[in-house]
Amino acid sequence: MRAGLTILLATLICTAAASQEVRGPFSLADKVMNTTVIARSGGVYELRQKTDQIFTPFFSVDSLASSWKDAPLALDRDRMEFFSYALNSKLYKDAAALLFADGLFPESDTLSYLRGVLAYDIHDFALAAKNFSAVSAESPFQPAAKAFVDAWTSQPELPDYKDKSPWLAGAMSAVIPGSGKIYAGDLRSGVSTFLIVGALGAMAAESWSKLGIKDWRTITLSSLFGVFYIANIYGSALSVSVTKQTYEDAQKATLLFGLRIPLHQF
Amino acid sequence: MKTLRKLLFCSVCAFLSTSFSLSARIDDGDGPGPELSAALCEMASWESSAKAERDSLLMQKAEFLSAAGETTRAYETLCRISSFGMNESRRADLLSRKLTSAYEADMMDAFVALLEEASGSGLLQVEQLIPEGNPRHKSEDAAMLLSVIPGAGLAYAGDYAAAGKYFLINGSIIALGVGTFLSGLYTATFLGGGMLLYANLPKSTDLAVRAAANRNISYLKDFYAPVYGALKQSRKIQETPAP
Repeated sequence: MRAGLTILLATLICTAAASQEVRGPFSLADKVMNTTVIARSGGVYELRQKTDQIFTPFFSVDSLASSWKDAPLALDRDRMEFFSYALNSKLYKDAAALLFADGLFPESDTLSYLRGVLAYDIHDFALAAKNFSAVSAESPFQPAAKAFVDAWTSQPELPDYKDKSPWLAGAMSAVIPGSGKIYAGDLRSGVSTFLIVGALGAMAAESWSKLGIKDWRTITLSSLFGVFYIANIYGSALSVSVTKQTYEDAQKATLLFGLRIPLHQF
Repeated sequence: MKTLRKLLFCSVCAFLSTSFSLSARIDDGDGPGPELSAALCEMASWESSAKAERDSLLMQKAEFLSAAGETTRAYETLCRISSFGMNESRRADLLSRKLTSAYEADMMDAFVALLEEASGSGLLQVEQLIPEGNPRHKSEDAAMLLSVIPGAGLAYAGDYAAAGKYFLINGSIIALGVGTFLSGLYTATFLGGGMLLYANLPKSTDLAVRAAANRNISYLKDFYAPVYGALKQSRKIQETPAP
């Protein structure tokens, strides 16, 4: 009865805590269980790594900021062709140093658009959205710029994904460690969690039966098991939103990659 | 005497104010920075129709990039310059720039290949600068095998701080494993010890192999330092305008 109540309490606390960013031993233990060899070979983990990579800018444009004291240069047809060449040749830092230099080219829709395309190419999508939004409605680049802003601000639809409950995931993992993660859609991480929490449980149980509850080894192993057990509930509740976010990011990345050709037609 | 003192005071003040104003100009980033200058060279080289001018602009770009600490990009820029149609002195200049750039970018494989090209073609007189013997070398395989002993692989590779850290971590895990085994906790020994070692050993092995590879780069740099120094020196002499 007492054990049941403790499990219920742990489930409630961990599920509530999982709704926000929590650091500390539980978060660390959950990270350990999510990054084992078994978990890393899982589809969700790989997808998350890939999408994290996609949404990480290659470099910060701010680091190349410079100012130009002479008269501005013209952003004519030839210069546009140069930027097309630079972007296609992956000379991103050169293009960034020129396009984001203060005063080198006069402010215009064309400059905003080119800045947006460069930011898109270096995967700084927030900066791309900011620059594409600055393109006025009269500009010939407006349809392409608007297409990006629409794709960036849209909430992608996940046709094959059914909404899961973090409470149910937490409760499932309280009964069978890792089962909540499997329910959330992260099979490998669930298996990894089950093996680690199970092994720690077996170690604590063995120590308890052979050395007694008051022995320091039993206390250490039981405490360790407790941390990982609670982390398993916390991580399972969290994995529902993390898995959904991963699928949404992947869907958004697909949408954004589809825009590459229209954006580069200038 | 008083006038002399006044004169000395004025000279010191003038010197200090000039120095401060100069440093302020540098700190303010007056004029385009090296990144923007490099990018302007790239744009100008694209707009230029004469090959010699394009090459010269790309060389300038590489210099700006080196000044900005972007040594790999500087080397890549130099690699884009084709030596086709160049006379011997310009080819030698390009090769010398590539060599110094590859050395600065820690691209020692490329440096050694370029050095062979320089010796073979006779464009640069570098043979006599290469020291006798072979550069020191750390075997990556040995570093990997030694990692079975906690910290030994890293110590072999020369990373003593990491070696001490992993000696303590993995050594403690093994000691703990022996302790729990002697207490009769067999499940705890094999599951716990196995899990912890599995989590730590591959990491320390990987670190040892990478440390050995990095050590080899620094050995190569030390070995070829006279060649690099001579090339850099000869470039400085060439670039210094005649009085």
